[in-house]
Amino acid sequence: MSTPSRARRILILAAAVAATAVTAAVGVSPAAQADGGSDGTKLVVTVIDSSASPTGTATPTATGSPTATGGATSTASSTSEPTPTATGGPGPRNDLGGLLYVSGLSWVYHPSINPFGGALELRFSVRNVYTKAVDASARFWVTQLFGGTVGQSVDVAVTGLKPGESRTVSAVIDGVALWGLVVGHLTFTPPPTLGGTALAPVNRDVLAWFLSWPFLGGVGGAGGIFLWWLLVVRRGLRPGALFGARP
Amino acid sequence: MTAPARRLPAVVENGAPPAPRAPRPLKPPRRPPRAAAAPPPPTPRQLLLRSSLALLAVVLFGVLADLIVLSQLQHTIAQQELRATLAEELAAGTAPVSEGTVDNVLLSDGDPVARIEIPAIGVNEIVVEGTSSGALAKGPGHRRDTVLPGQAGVSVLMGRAAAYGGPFGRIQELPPGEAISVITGQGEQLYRVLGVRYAGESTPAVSGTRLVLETARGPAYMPTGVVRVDAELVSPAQPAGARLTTNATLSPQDRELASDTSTVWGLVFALQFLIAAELAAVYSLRRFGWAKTWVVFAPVLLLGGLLVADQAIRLLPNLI
Repeated sequence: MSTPSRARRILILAAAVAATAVTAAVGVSPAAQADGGSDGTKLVVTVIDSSASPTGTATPTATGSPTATGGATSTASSTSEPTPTATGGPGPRNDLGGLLYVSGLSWVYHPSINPFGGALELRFSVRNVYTKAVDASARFWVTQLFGGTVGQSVDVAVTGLKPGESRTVSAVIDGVALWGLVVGHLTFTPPPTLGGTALAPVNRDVLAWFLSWPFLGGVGGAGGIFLWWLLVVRRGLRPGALFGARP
Repeated sequence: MTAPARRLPAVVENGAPPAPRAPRPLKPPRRPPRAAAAPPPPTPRQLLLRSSLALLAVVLFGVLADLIVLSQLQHTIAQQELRATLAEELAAGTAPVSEGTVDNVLLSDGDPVARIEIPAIGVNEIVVEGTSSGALAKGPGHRRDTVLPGQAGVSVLMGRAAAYGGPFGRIQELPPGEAISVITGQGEQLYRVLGVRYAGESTPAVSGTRLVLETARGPAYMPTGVVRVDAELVSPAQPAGARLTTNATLSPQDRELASDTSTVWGLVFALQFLIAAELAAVYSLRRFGWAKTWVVFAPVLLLGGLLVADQAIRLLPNLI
Protein backbone atom coordinates (compact mmCIF):
# COMPACT_ATOMS: atom_id res chain seq x y z
CA MET A 1 0.00 0.00 0.00
CA SER A 2 2.79 2.34 0.73
CA THR A 3 4.47 1.90 -2.65
CA PRO A 4 1.59 3.20 -4.81
CA SER A 5 1.02 6.18 -2.54
CA ARG A 6 4.72 7.01 -2.60
CA ALA A 7 4.83 6.69 -6.35
CA ARG A 8 1.79 8.93 -6.61
CA ARG A 9 3.52 11.55 -4.48
CA ILE A 10 6.59 11.41 -6.74
CA LEU A 11 4.41 11.82 -9.83
CA ILE A 12 2.61 14.80 -8.36
CA LEU A 13 5.92 16.39 -7.39
CA ALA A 14 7.34 15.88 -10.87
CA ALA A 15 4.22 17.30 -12.48
CA ALA A 16 4.38 20.33 -10.19
CA VAL A 17 8.02 21.02 -11.07
CA ALA A 18 7.31 20.67 -14.78
CA ALA A 19 4.25 22.92 -14.58
CA THR A 20 6.26 25.53 -12.71
CA ALA A 21 8.99 25.48 -15.31
CA VAL A 22 6.62 25.72 -18.25
CA THR A 23 4.50 28.43 -16.65
CA ALA A 24 7.54 30.45 -15.70
CA ALA A 25 9.02 30.09 -19.16
CA VAL A 26 5.82 31.19 -20.85
CA GLY A 27 5.39 34.06 -18.45
CA VAL A 28 8.93 35.33 -18.71
CA SER A 29 9.33 35.07 -22.45
CA PRO A 30 7.43 38.22 -23.40
CA ALA A 31 9.24 40.21 -20.75
CA ALA A 32 12.56 38.96 -21.98
CA GLN A 33 11.69 39.87 -25.52
CA ALA A 34 10.74 43.36 -24.55
CA ASP A 35 14.29 44.57 -24.88
CA GLY A 36 15.49 42.19 -27.47
CA GLY A 37 12.44 41.14 -29.38
CA SER A 38 11.50 41.94 -32.90
CA ASP A 39 9.66 45.11 -31.96
CA GLY A 40 12.76 46.48 -30.26
CA THR A 41 13.08 49.70 -28.39
CA LYS A 42 11.88 52.98 -29.76
CA LEU A 43 14.76 54.89 -31.23
CA VAL A 44 15.59 57.96 -29.21
CA VAL A 45 16.30 60.81 -31.54
CA THR A 46 19.94 61.73 -31.20
CA VAL A 47 20.82 63.19 -34.52
CA ILE A 48 24.56 63.41 -34.96
CA ASP A 49 24.28 65.68 -37.93
CA SER A 50 21.21 67.71 -38.56
CA SER A 51 21.17 66.77 -42.20
CA ALA A 52 21.64 63.08 -41.59
CA SER A 53 18.45 61.11 -42.00
CA PRO A 54 18.28 57.39 -41.28
CA THR A 55 15.00 57.04 -43.10
CA GLY A 56 16.29 54.68 -45.74
CA THR A 57 16.00 56.46 -49.03
CA ALA A 58 17.97 53.77 -50.79
CA THR A 59 16.29 52.43 -53.89
CA PRO A 60 17.74 48.97 -54.36
CA THR A 61 16.65 46.67 -57.11
CA ALA A 62 15.19 43.27 -56.50
CA THR A 63 18.19 41.53 -57.99
CA GLY A 64 20.37 42.25 -55.04
CA SER A 65 22.25 45.07 -56.70
CA PRO A 66 20.67 48.09 -55.15
CA THR A 67 21.26 51.55 -56.50
CA ALA A 68 23.70 53.31 -54.25
CA THR A 69 21.81 56.50 -53.63
CA GLY A 70 22.56 56.41 -49.93
CA GLY A 71 20.37 56.26 -46.92
CA ALA A 72 21.78 59.35 -45.33
CA THR A 73 22.28 62.62 -47.07
CA SER A 74 25.36 63.82 -45.30
CA THR A 75 28.41 62.50 -43.58
CA ALA A 76 27.90 61.83 -39.94
CA SER A 77 30.65 61.86 -37.40
CA SER A 78 33.39 59.43 -38.26
CA THR A 79 33.52 56.32 -36.15
CA SER A 80 36.89 55.34 -34.92
CA GLU A 81 37.80 51.69 -34.78
CA PRO A 82 37.21 50.19 -31.38
CA THR A 83 40.28 49.61 -29.34
CA PRO A 84 41.39 46.02 -29.81
CA THR A 85 40.88 44.01 -26.68
CA ALA A 86 43.85 42.34 -25.16
CA THR A 87 42.64 38.91 -26.15
CA GLY A 88 45.94 37.78 -27.48
CA GLY A 89 47.97 38.94 -24.52
CA PRO A 90 50.39 41.82 -24.55
CA GLY A 91 53.16 40.00 -26.39
CA PRO A 92 56.05 41.63 -28.15
CA ARG A 93 55.50 44.65 -30.32
CA ASN A 94 54.96 43.45 -33.87
CA ASP A 95 54.66 46.13 -36.45
CA LEU A 96 55.05 46.47 -40.19
CA GLY A 97 54.29 50.18 -40.07
CA GLY A 98 51.55 49.95 -42.64
CA LEU A 99 54.22 49.63 -45.34
CA LEU A 100 54.01 45.86 -45.74
CA TYR A 101 50.93 43.70 -45.41
CA VAL A 102 51.12 40.00 -44.56
CA SER A 103 48.32 37.44 -44.83
CA GLY A 104 47.77 34.51 -42.51
CA LEU A 105 49.28 31.06 -43.00
CA SER A 106 47.60 28.39 -45.08
CA TRP A 107 48.72 24.77 -45.39
CA VAL A 108 48.60 21.76 -47.68
CA TYR A 109 49.60 18.25 -46.59
CA HIS A 110 51.42 15.96 -49.02
CA PRO A 111 50.97 12.38 -47.76
CA SER A 112 53.61 9.70 -48.02
CA ILE A 113 53.70 5.90 -47.70
CA ASN A 114 56.75 6.26 -45.52
CA PRO A 115 55.55 6.52 -41.91
CA PHE A 116 58.42 8.92 -41.23
CA GLY A 117 57.78 10.97 -44.37
CA GLY A 118 54.91 13.26 -45.23
CA ALA A 119 55.38 16.93 -45.99
CA LEU A 120 53.54 20.02 -44.88
CA GLU A 121 53.54 22.96 -47.24
CA LEU A 122 53.06 26.33 -45.58
CA ARG A 123 52.41 29.52 -47.52
CA PHE A 124 51.56 33.15 -47.01
CA SER A 125 51.31 36.31 -49.08
CA VAL A 126 53.05 39.63 -48.57
CA ARG A 127 52.33 42.94 -50.27
CA ASN A 128 54.59 45.95 -50.51
CA VAL A 129 52.83 49.31 -50.39
CA TYR A 130 56.06 51.26 -49.89
CA THR A 131 57.48 53.30 -52.72
CA LYS A 132 60.69 51.28 -53.09
CA ALA A 133 61.65 47.64 -53.41
CA VAL A 134 61.97 45.78 -50.12
CA ASP A 135 64.07 42.81 -49.01
CA ALA A 136 62.78 40.68 -46.16
CA SER A 137 62.97 37.11 -44.88
CA ALA A 138 60.58 34.46 -43.62
CA ARG A 139 61.20 31.55 -41.28
CA PHE A 140 58.82 28.58 -41.28
CA TRP A 141 58.72 25.81 -38.69
CA VAL A 142 56.31 23.22 -37.34
CA THR A 143 55.63 22.14 -33.77
CA GLN A 144 53.45 19.43 -32.32
CA LEU A 145 50.82 20.29 -29.75
CA PHE A 146 53.23 19.84 -26.84
CA GLY A 147 55.59 22.41 -28.28
CA GLY A 148 58.33 20.16 -29.64
CA THR A 149 59.70 21.00 -33.06
CA VAL A 150 58.82 18.65 -35.91
CA GLY A 151 61.17 18.45 -38.87
CA GLN A 152 63.57 21.17 -39.85
CA SER A 153 62.81 24.87 -39.95
CA VAL A 154 63.07 26.57 -43.33
CA ASP A 155 64.36 30.09 -44.03
CA VAL A 156 63.20 31.81 -47.19
CA ALA A 157 64.56 35.09 -48.50
CA VAL A 158 61.99 37.51 -49.89
CA THR A 159 64.10 39.72 -52.08
CA GLY A 160 63.27 42.51 -54.48
CA LEU A 161 59.62 42.92 -53.52
CA LYS A 162 58.62 45.75 -55.83
CA PRO A 163 56.24 48.57 -54.92
CA GLY A 164 52.64 47.38 -55.18
CA GLU A 165 53.72 43.76 -55.70
CA SER A 166 52.05 40.87 -53.89
CA ARG A 167 54.09 37.71 -53.59
CA THR A 168 53.16 34.28 -52.29
CA VAL A 169 55.93 32.62 -50.31
CA SER A 170 55.84 28.92 -49.45
CA ALA A 171 58.03 26.31 -47.81
CA VAL A 172 57.81 22.54 -47.49
CA ILE A 173 58.69 20.85 -44.22
CA ASP A 174 59.26 17.09 -44.34
CA GLY A 175 58.82 14.42 -41.70
CA VAL A 176 55.45 15.32 -40.21
CA ALA A 177 53.55 12.10 -41.03
CA LEU A 178 53.87 10.74 -37.50
CA TRP A 179 51.87 13.66 -36.11
CA GLY A 180 48.25 14.12 -37.07
CA LEU A 181 47.89 17.51 -35.43
CA VAL A 182 50.63 20.11 -35.78
CA VAL A 183 50.97 23.87 -35.65
CA GLY A 184 52.67 25.69 -38.48
CA HIS A 185 54.54 28.89 -37.58
CA LEU A 186 55.88 31.82 -39.54
CA THR A 187 58.07 34.73 -38.53
CA PHE A 188 58.25 37.42 -41.17
CA THR A 189 61.21 39.70 -40.65
CA PRO A 190 61.08 43.04 -42.48
CA PRO A 191 64.01 45.45 -42.78
CA PRO A 192 64.68 47.19 -39.45
CA THR A 193 63.69 50.54 -40.88
CA LEU A 194 61.85 51.56 -43.98
CA GLY A 195 61.67 55.23 -44.94
CA GLY A 196 62.48 56.23 -41.40
CA THR A 197 59.80 53.98 -39.90
CA ALA A 198 60.99 51.31 -37.49
CA LEU A 199 59.62 47.87 -38.30
CA ALA A 200 59.55 44.68 -36.24
CA PRO A 201 58.95 41.00 -37.13
CA VAL A 202 55.42 39.62 -37.11
CA ASN A 203 54.31 36.07 -36.38
CA ARG A 204 51.60 33.92 -37.91
CA ASP A 205 50.47 30.40 -37.00
CA VAL A 206 47.96 27.85 -38.20
CA LEU A 207 46.68 24.51 -36.93
CA ALA A 208 47.08 21.70 -39.48
CA TRP A 209 45.55 18.24 -39.18
CA PHE A 210 45.71 15.14 -41.34
CA LEU A 211 45.48 11.36 -41.09
CA SER A 212 48.72 10.20 -39.55
CA TRP A 213 50.11 6.67 -39.47
CA PRO A 214 49.80 6.29 -35.67
CA PHE A 215 46.21 7.43 -35.87
CA LEU A 216 45.37 4.98 -38.64
CA GLY A 217 47.15 2.19 -36.73
CA GLY A 218 45.25 3.02 -33.57
CA VAL A 219 41.92 3.02 -35.39
CA GLY A 220 42.74 -0.29 -37.07
CA GLY A 221 43.84 -1.86 -33.79
CA ALA A 222 40.78 -0.64 -31.95
CA GLY A 223 38.56 -1.98 -34.73
CA GLY A 224 40.25 -5.37 -34.57
CA ILE A 225 39.90 -5.59 -30.81
CA PHE A 226 36.25 -4.62 -31.05
CA LEU A 227 35.63 -7.28 -33.72
CA TRP A 228 37.38 -9.92 -31.62
CA TRP A 229 35.35 -8.94 -28.58
CA LEU A 230 32.12 -8.99 -30.57
CA LEU A 231 32.63 -12.37 -32.25
CA VAL A 232 34.71 -14.33 -29.76
CA VAL A 233 33.82 -13.02 -26.34
CA ARG A 234 30.24 -11.96 -26.82
CA ARG A 235 29.02 -14.60 -29.28
CA GLY A 236 31.19 -17.39 -27.96
CA LEU A 237 32.81 -18.36 -31.25
CA ARG A 238 35.98 -20.42 -31.19
CA PRO A 239 38.99 -18.23 -31.98
CA GLY A 240 39.88 -20.51 -34.90
CA ALA A 241 36.47 -20.04 -36.49
CA LEU A 242 37.34 -16.46 -37.35
CA PHE A 243 40.06 -17.68 -39.69
CA GLY A 244 38.23 -20.65 -41.20
CA ALA A 245 40.10 -23.41 -39.27
CA ARG A 246 38.48 -26.83 -39.25
CA PRO A 247 37.44 -28.29 -35.90
CA MET B 1 45.32 -73.57 -38.20
CA THR B 2 41.94 -72.59 -39.07
CA ALA B 3 40.81 -69.01 -39.64
CA PRO B 4 38.68 -67.58 -36.92
CA ALA B 5 35.08 -67.47 -37.79
CA ARG B 6 33.98 -64.02 -38.93
CA ARG B 7 31.16 -62.58 -36.92
CA LEU B 8 28.28 -61.83 -39.18
CA PRO B 9 26.32 -58.64 -38.65
CA ALA B 10 23.12 -59.03 -36.88
CA VAL B 11 20.31 -59.54 -39.26
CA VAL B 12 17.05 -58.13 -38.26
CA GLU B 13 14.03 -59.96 -39.13
CA ASN B 14 12.12 -58.87 -42.25
CA GLY B 15 15.35 -57.24 -43.63
CA ALA B 16 14.85 -53.88 -41.84
CA PRO B 17 17.96 -51.80 -40.98
CA PRO B 18 19.13 -51.87 -37.42
CA ALA B 19 17.65 -49.24 -35.12
CA PRO B 20 20.00 -46.33 -34.12
CA ARG B 21 21.66 -46.69 -30.87
CA ALA B 22 19.96 -44.77 -28.14
CA PRO B 23 22.01 -41.82 -26.79
CA ARG B 24 23.75 -42.42 -23.59
CA PRO B 25 22.01 -40.65 -20.74
CA LEU B 26 23.94 -37.74 -19.24
CA LYS B 27 25.54 -38.35 -15.96
CA PRO B 28 24.40 -36.10 -13.18
CA PRO B 29 27.10 -33.63 -12.12
CA ARG B 30 29.04 -34.59 -9.11
CA ARG B 31 28.39 -31.23 -7.62
CA PRO B 32 25.34 -29.13 -8.48
CA PRO B 33 26.22 -25.86 -10.32
CA ARG B 34 26.42 -22.83 -8.19
CA ALA B 35 23.30 -20.76 -8.47
CA ALA B 36 23.85 -17.30 -9.97
CA ALA B 37 23.70 -14.74 -7.25
CA ALA B 38 21.02 -12.17 -7.89
CA PRO B 39 22.39 -8.61 -7.79
CA PRO B 40 21.24 -6.74 -4.77
CA PRO B 41 18.73 -3.99 -5.44
CA PRO B 42 20.34 -0.56 -5.73
CA THR B 43 20.20 1.63 -2.71
CA PRO B 44 18.55 5.06 -2.92
CA ARG B 45 21.99 6.65 -2.95
CA GLN B 46 23.05 4.50 -5.89
CA LEU B 47 19.82 5.35 -7.69
CA LEU B 48 20.43 9.05 -7.14
CA LEU B 49 23.99 8.72 -8.41
CA ARG B 50 22.85 6.78 -11.45
CA SER B 51 20.20 9.34 -12.30
CA SER B 52 22.59 12.25 -11.82
CA LEU B 53 25.20 10.69 -14.08
CA ALA B 54 22.56 9.96 -16.68
CA LEU B 55 21.42 13.57 -16.52
CA LEU B 56 24.98 14.81 -16.88
CA ALA B 57 25.54 12.50 -19.83
CA VAL B 58 22.41 13.80 -21.54
CA VAL B 59 23.52 17.41 -21.04
CA LEU B 60 27.07 16.77 -22.27
CA PHE B 61 25.81 14.84 -25.26
CA GLY B 62 23.40 17.64 -26.04
CA VAL B 63 26.10 20.31 -25.82
CA LEU B 64 28.51 18.42 -28.07
CA ALA B 65 25.84 17.42 -30.58
CA ASP B 66 24.45 20.93 -30.68
CA LEU B 67 27.85 22.60 -30.97
CA ILE B 68 29.38 20.35 -33.61
CA VAL B 69 26.45 19.05 -35.64
CA LEU B 70 23.14 20.80 -35.05
CA SER B 71 24.62 24.31 -34.90
CA GLN B 72 25.53 24.00 -38.57
CA LEU B 73 21.92 23.15 -39.40
CA GLN B 74 20.59 26.00 -37.26
CA HIS B 75 22.93 28.40 -39.05
CA THR B 76 21.77 27.23 -42.48
CA ILE B 77 18.11 27.65 -41.58
CA ALA B 78 18.70 31.08 -40.05
CA GLN B 79 20.61 32.22 -43.15
CA GLN B 80 17.76 31.14 -45.42
CA GLU B 81 15.26 33.18 -43.42
CA LEU B 82 17.59 36.19 -43.21
CA ARG B 83 18.30 36.05 -46.94
CA ALA B 84 14.60 36.19 -47.73
CA THR B 85 14.04 39.06 -45.30
CA LEU B 86 16.93 41.12 -46.63
CA ALA B 87 15.90 40.53 -50.22
CA GLU B 88 12.44 41.84 -49.43
CA GLU B 89 13.87 44.88 -47.67
CA LEU B 90 16.26 45.62 -50.52
CA ALA B 91 13.46 45.32 -53.04
CA ALA B 92 11.28 47.65 -50.99
CA GLY B 93 14.10 50.10 -50.28
CA THR B 94 13.74 49.64 -46.54
CA ALA B 95 17.03 47.91 -45.75
CA PRO B 96 18.63 49.58 -42.72
CA VAL B 97 21.26 52.25 -43.30
CA SER B 98 21.65 53.24 -39.67
CA GLU B 99 21.08 51.63 -36.27
CA GLY B 100 17.35 52.06 -36.72
CA THR B 101 14.73 50.88 -39.13
CA VAL B 102 12.74 53.09 -41.46
CA ASP B 103 10.20 53.35 -38.66
CA ASN B 104 12.81 54.81 -36.30
CA VAL B 105 12.89 51.67 -34.20
CA LEU B 106 16.21 50.41 -32.93
CA LEU B 107 17.40 47.32 -34.79
CA SER B 108 17.25 44.18 -32.70
CA ASP B 109 20.07 41.71 -32.38
CA GLY B 110 19.85 39.33 -35.32
CA ASP B 111 18.14 41.65 -37.81
CA PRO B 112 19.72 41.44 -41.29
CA VAL B 113 21.69 44.49 -42.40
CA ALA B 114 23.94 43.37 -45.27
CA ARG B 115 25.22 40.53 -47.42
CA ILE B 116 28.92 39.78 -47.61
CA GLU B 117 30.61 37.82 -50.37
CA ILE B 118 34.25 36.70 -50.33
CA PRO B 119 34.65 34.42 -53.37
CA ALA B 120 38.22 33.41 -52.54
CA ILE B 121 37.13 31.48 -49.43
CA GLY B 122 33.54 30.71 -50.39
CA VAL B 123 31.82 33.11 -48.03
CA ASN B 124 28.30 34.23 -48.97
CA GLU B 125 26.54 35.21 -45.77
CA ILE B 126 23.86 37.55 -44.51
CA VAL B 127 25.23 39.93 -41.88
CA VAL B 128 23.07 40.59 -38.84
CA GLU B 129 23.04 43.48 -36.42
CA GLY B 130 24.78 42.84 -33.11
CA THR B 131 27.68 40.65 -32.12
CA SER B 132 26.44 38.78 -29.06
CA SER B 133 26.74 35.02 -28.96
CA GLY B 134 23.09 34.57 -29.88
CA ALA B 135 23.31 36.98 -32.82
CA LEU B 136 26.46 35.36 -34.20
CA ALA B 137 24.68 32.00 -34.21
CA LYS B 138 22.71 33.30 -37.17
CA GLY B 139 25.65 34.63 -39.15
CA PRO B 140 28.37 37.26 -39.15
CA GLY B 141 27.44 40.21 -36.96
CA HIS B 142 27.93 43.93 -37.38
CA ARG B 143 29.38 45.60 -34.30
CA ARG B 144 26.90 48.22 -33.18
CA ASP B 145 29.36 50.96 -32.35
CA THR B 146 30.78 51.07 -35.87
CA VAL B 147 29.34 52.30 -39.15
CA LEU B 148 27.77 49.96 -41.64
CA PRO B 149 30.03 48.58 -44.39
CA GLY B 150 30.58 51.13 -47.14
CA GLN B 151 29.91 54.12 -44.93
CA ALA B 152 32.62 56.62 -44.09
CA GLY B 153 34.63 55.33 -41.14
CA VAL B 154 35.67 51.94 -39.86
CA SER B 155 33.15 49.10 -39.95
CA VAL B 156 33.71 45.92 -37.90
CA LEU B 157 32.13 42.56 -38.76
CA MET B 158 32.60 39.63 -36.37
CA GLY B 159 32.00 35.99 -37.27
CA ARG B 160 32.38 32.55 -35.76
CA ALA B 161 35.37 30.42 -36.67
CA ALA B 162 34.00 26.90 -36.19
CA ALA B 163 30.50 26.56 -34.71
CA TYR B 164 27.30 27.65 -36.48
CA GLY B 165 28.78 27.26 -39.92
CA GLY B 166 32.07 28.93 -39.02
CA PRO B 167 31.62 31.60 -41.70
CA PHE B 168 34.90 33.38 -40.87
CA GLY B 169 36.91 30.22 -40.23
CA ARG B 170 39.15 30.78 -43.26
CA ILE B 171 39.62 34.55 -43.33
CA GLN B 172 43.29 34.11 -42.37
CA GLU B 173 43.85 32.63 -45.81
CA LEU B 174 42.87 35.85 -47.57
CA PRO B 175 45.87 37.24 -49.42
CA PRO B 176 46.42 40.98 -49.82
CA GLY B 177 44.45 42.37 -52.73
CA GLU B 178 41.59 39.85 -52.55
CA ALA B 179 38.11 41.28 -53.26
CA ILE B 180 35.28 41.54 -50.75
CA SER B 181 31.78 42.62 -51.74
CA VAL B 182 29.16 43.83 -49.28
CA ILE B 183 25.61 44.70 -50.32
CA THR B 184 23.76 47.06 -48.01
CA GLY B 185 20.79 49.35 -48.30
CA GLN B 186 23.16 51.84 -49.93
CA GLY B 187 24.27 49.56 -52.74
CA GLU B 188 27.23 47.30 -53.38
CA GLN B 189 30.38 48.21 -51.49
CA LEU B 190 33.70 46.86 -52.80
CA TYR B 191 36.72 46.27 -50.60
CA ARG B 192 40.25 45.07 -51.20
CA VAL B 193 42.04 43.06 -48.53
CA LEU B 194 45.05 44.75 -46.94
CA GLY B 195 46.34 42.02 -44.63
CA VAL B 196 45.93 39.97 -41.48
CA ARG B 197 46.53 41.40 -38.04
CA TYR B 198 47.08 39.73 -34.67
CA ALA B 199 46.76 41.38 -31.28
CA GLY B 200 49.57 43.82 -30.69
CA GLU B 201 50.05 44.78 -34.31
CA SER B 202 49.25 48.35 -35.26
CA THR B 203 46.27 49.22 -37.42
CA PRO B 204 46.90 49.91 -41.10
CA ALA B 205 47.91 53.43 -42.00
CA VAL B 206 45.04 53.83 -44.43
CA SER B 207 43.27 57.15 -44.27
CA GLY B 208 40.09 55.95 -45.94
CA THR B 209 37.08 53.89 -45.11
CA ARG B 210 38.00 50.46 -43.83
CA LEU B 211 36.35 47.12 -43.09
CA VAL B 212 37.65 44.87 -40.31
CA LEU B 213 36.71 41.18 -40.18
CA GLU B 214 37.25 39.53 -36.81
CA THR B 215 37.13 35.92 -35.66
CA ALA B 216 38.74 33.54 -33.17
CA ARG B 217 42.31 32.43 -33.61
CA GLY B 218 43.68 29.01 -32.66
CA PRO B 219 42.24 25.48 -32.68
CA ALA B 220 38.55 25.06 -33.40
CA TYR B 221 36.39 25.52 -30.29
CA MET B 222 39.53 26.44 -28.28
CA PRO B 223 40.27 30.08 -29.10
CA THR B 224 43.60 31.57 -28.15
CA GLY B 225 42.95 35.09 -29.38
CA VAL B 226 41.45 37.23 -32.09
CA VAL B 227 42.56 37.54 -35.69
CA ARG B 228 41.60 40.56 -37.78
CA VAL B 229 41.57 41.07 -41.53
CA ASP B 230 41.70 44.67 -42.75
CA ALA B 231 40.26 45.74 -46.07
CA GLU B 232 40.06 49.17 -47.65
CA LEU B 233 37.08 50.52 -49.54
CA VAL B 234 37.65 50.91 -53.26
CA SER B 235 34.13 52.04 -54.17
CA PRO B 236 32.76 55.47 -53.24
CA ALA B 237 32.13 55.93 -49.51
CA GLN B 238 28.53 56.32 -48.43
CA PRO B 239 27.24 58.75 -45.82
CA ALA B 240 26.87 57.21 -42.37
CA GLY B 241 23.55 56.93 -40.60
CA ALA B 242 22.80 57.75 -36.98
CA ARG B 243 24.04 55.43 -34.25
CA LEU B 244 23.09 55.32 -30.62
CA THR B 245 25.73 52.85 -29.50
CA THR B 246 29.25 54.08 -28.95
CA ASN B 247 32.39 52.25 -27.92
CA ALA B 248 31.76 53.26 -24.32
CA THR B 249 28.15 52.07 -24.29
CA LEU B 250 28.68 48.86 -26.23
CA SER B 251 27.32 45.93 -24.27
CA PRO B 252 30.03 43.67 -22.77
CA GLN B 253 28.55 40.60 -24.42
CA ASP B 254 29.01 42.27 -27.83
CA ARG B 255 32.78 42.47 -27.53
CA GLU B 256 35.30 39.99 -28.88
CA LEU B 257 35.33 36.53 -27.26
CA ALA B 258 32.64 37.58 -24.78
CA SER B 259 29.98 35.25 -23.42
CA ASP B 260 26.32 36.13 -23.29
CA THR B 261 24.90 35.90 -19.79
CA SER B 262 21.71 37.80 -20.56
CA THR B 263 19.74 34.60 -21.14
CA VAL B 264 20.90 32.60 -18.13
CA TRP B 265 17.28 32.49 -17.02
CA GLY B 266 16.59 30.38 -20.07
CA LEU B 267 19.27 27.93 -19.00
CA VAL B 268 17.71 27.70 -15.54
CA PHE B 269 14.29 26.85 -16.92
CA ALA B 270 15.69 24.42 -19.44
CA LEU B 271 17.51 22.60 -16.64
CA GLN B 272 14.30 22.50 -14.59
CA PHE B 273 12.48 20.97 -17.53
CA LEU B 274 15.22 18.39 -17.97
CA ILE B 275 15.19 17.43 -14.29
CA ALA B 276 11.41 17.11 -14.32
CA ALA B 277 11.58 14.88 -17.38
CA GLU B 278 14.26 12.80 -15.70
CA LEU B 279 12.12 12.31 -12.59
CA ALA B 280 9.14 11.35 -14.68
CA ALA B 281 11.26 8.91 -16.68
CA VAL B 282 12.49 7.23 -13.50
CA TYR B 283 8.94 6.86 -12.24
CA SER B 284 7.78 5.52 -15.59
CA LEU B 285 10.65 3.05 -15.66
CA ARG B 286 9.53 1.54 -12.36
CA ARG B 287 5.86 1.62 -13.19
CA PHE B 288 5.65 0.76 -16.90
CA GLY B 289 8.97 -0.85 -17.80
CA TRP B 290 11.72 -0.17 -20.33
CA ALA B 291 9.78 -0.35 -23.59
CA LYS B 292 7.10 2.21 -22.85
CA THR B 293 9.50 4.51 -21.02
CA TRP B 294 11.92 4.48 -23.95
CA VAL B 295 9.23 5.32 -26.49
CA VAL B 296 7.82 8.18 -24.47
CA PHE B 297 10.80 9.72 -22.73
CA ALA B 298 13.67 9.32 -25.20
CA PRO B 299 12.43 12.23 -27.37
CA VAL B 300 11.56 14.29 -24.31
CA LEU B 301 15.00 13.86 -22.74
CA LEU B 302 16.66 14.55 -26.08
CA LEU B 303 14.65 17.74 -26.44
CA GLY B 304 15.53 18.77 -22.90
CA GLY B 305 19.21 18.10 -23.49
CA LEU B 306 19.20 20.20 -26.64
CA LEU B 307 17.36 23.04 -24.91
CA VAL B 308 19.97 23.08 -22.16
CA ALA B 309 22.77 22.80 -24.69
CA ASP B 310 21.44 25.67 -26.77
CA GLN B 311 21.43 27.93 -23.73
CA ALA B 312 24.77 26.67 -22.43
CA ILE B 313 26.50 27.38 -25.74
CA ARG B 314 25.62 31.06 -25.37
CA LEU B 315 27.91 31.13 -22.36
CA LEU B 316 30.85 30.14 -24.54
CA PRO B 317 32.96 32.80 -26.32
CA ASN B 318 30.99 34.37 -29.15
CA LEU B 319 33.68 33.94 -31.83
CA ILE B 320 34.19 30.16 -31.66
